[in-house]
Amino acid sequence: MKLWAKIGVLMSAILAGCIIAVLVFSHRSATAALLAEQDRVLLLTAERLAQELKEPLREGQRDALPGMLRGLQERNGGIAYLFVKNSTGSVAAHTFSRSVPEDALHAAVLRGGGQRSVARLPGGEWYQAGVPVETGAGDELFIGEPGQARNAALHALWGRELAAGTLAIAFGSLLCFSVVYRLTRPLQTVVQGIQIIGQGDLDHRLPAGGRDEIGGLAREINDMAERRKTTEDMIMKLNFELEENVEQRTAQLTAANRELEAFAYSVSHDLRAPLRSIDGFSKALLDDYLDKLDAEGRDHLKRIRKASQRMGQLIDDLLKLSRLTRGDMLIEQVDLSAMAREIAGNLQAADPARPVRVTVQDGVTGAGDRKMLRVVLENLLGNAWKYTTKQPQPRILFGMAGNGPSRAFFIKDNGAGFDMHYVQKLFGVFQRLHSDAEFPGTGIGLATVQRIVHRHGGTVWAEGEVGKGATFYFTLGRAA
Amino acid sequence: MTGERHILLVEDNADDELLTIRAFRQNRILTEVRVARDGQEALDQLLGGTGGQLPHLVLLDLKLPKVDGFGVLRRIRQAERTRLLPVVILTSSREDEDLRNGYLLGANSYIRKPVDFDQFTAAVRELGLYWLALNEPPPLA
Ligand SMILES: Nc1ncnc2c1ncn2[C@@H]1O[C@H](COP(=O)(O)OP(=O)(O)O)[C@@H](O)[C@H]1O
Ligand SMILES: [Mg+2]
Repeated sequence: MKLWAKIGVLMSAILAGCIIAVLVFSHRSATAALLAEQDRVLLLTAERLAQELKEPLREGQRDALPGMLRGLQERNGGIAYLFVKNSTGSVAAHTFSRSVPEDALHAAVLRGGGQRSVARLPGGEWYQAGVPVETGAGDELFIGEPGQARNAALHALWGRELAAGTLAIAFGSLLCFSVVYRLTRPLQTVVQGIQIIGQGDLDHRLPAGGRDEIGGLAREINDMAERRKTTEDMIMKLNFELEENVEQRTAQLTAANRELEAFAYSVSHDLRAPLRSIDGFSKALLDDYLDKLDAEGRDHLKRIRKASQRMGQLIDDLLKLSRLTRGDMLIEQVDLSAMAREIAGNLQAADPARPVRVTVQDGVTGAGDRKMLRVVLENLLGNAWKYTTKQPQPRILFGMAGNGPSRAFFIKDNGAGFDMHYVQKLFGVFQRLHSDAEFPGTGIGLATVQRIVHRHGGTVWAEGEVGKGATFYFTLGRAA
Repeated sequence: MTGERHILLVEDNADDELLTIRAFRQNRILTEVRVARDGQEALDQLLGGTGGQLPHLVLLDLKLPKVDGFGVLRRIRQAERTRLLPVVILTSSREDEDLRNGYLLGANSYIRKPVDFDQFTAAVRELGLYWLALNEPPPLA
């Protein structure tokens, strides 16, 4: 129910209550006034009749009294009966067929002697007025009027009052509703405005001209909308700035990446060229001036060549590492068992004399970038192959360990092993736990493995014991 | 007739130039080697003037002053006269990007110069054997 309707109903009810109260009150006094007026008219009639009786009675025509009364009754239609009491209190004459009824007689008493009065007989059927007849003999005239006539007048009064009350209530209610509606209209406008603003149109404003509370409310809401607009504008601006910042950072990052690529490029071009010269001309010296060099000189040149070749290898490995961390990944399901067998086959082919027993567990698969996973297996199997060189019965095992989330791929060998004390160093760039004389290498392989595994969201770790062998584990994180 | 034709070595590094020629000689490849020390010079030799004898083979480095190796290759493939000329990229880089660009622009082969001179000599021997003896060159334009 709308507010204005509620208030309208309430006010109409109050109004109706008031009107009814007023009607009830005025009805009482109007009834009393009506009765008093009718009493007065009755008394006047009685007095007029008494006047007519006065002369004959004074002249002592007492015997003619009943006839005179009957004559008066006939001439005055509204009078139902008449009777006269004499000074002794007995009835001198009357118009009743038999005798004056007890009730009428009982009521026929003039207070204080000689005073006029009107009495309502019990039952309300009759109203009776009494007046003295100025004969000097103490006669009193009583006339009766039927109550029916008075009731009809009262009913008419009732009807008028009811009609007036109904009309007043109807009019009053209409007025109430229209006034309330008029008064609450601004409120409705405000409510609609709030809905519009609430739905996001922050530019909408309420009419705020009114000096009353609703006007104040409208102004308050307008202010609120204004503040919210300011806030939203600010948020938008901040967002915009944030995006700009992100764009700028991205641009910087892209620039840094490009610089890194340029660096890698120049490393591969520019650092290798001098190495080629060093190695090339050392070889030229060894070829062309062999007879002019003693054994030591030749040894020096050989060392120069070896060092430059090693540096070339280091640069190549470093570049490979940087390439692997830059390139895009293509995740697919990879048959690692097949891949491990193929790599082991290549290792055996390159080094046919070695009696290594390689065991590959069947059906080992993992989700990842095929090229990168190949690099991982090549490095781990290559290490196992290399670090079992001094073992008379070398064994390498590839498979899957554990189950559930702790599932990990592993490569186990029974080679040189390492000291667990230095296990943290294993995966660092150029970090080696064995000398180049013992086992040749650049110390980049495991760093590469770690980068790849991390890029797949996995982890890599190792266990080892000097002289007993090593096991390398890795997972592929969510991808696997 | 093949004897009269030469090899064009496009190489800005004097050391590399010397070592490359040395590798040819050690492998007893006696074909004349002409050298261009930057991209522009190479283009002048191949496309400039009335145009003398075309080389049997171009050995092209990528990182060159003025016009780089890719620029030279593009121009070679665009010119009617040199469109079919065998070009072997001989460079230090083995970046995927360089390999892709090289082949896209129509290189016939891509060889990476090894640091180890023994390996380099072996590579030049294979290269000479293949391109100068085994391979039938395209007919002269
Ligand atoms: N299977 C293995 N057994 C014993 N030690 C190993 C094994 N794999 C790696 N290591 C140790 O970790 C070091 C780092 O390995 P890696 O990064 O592959 O470099 P590299 O093999 O070139 O030396 C090695 O130098 C070696 O000391
Ligand atoms: Mg290794």
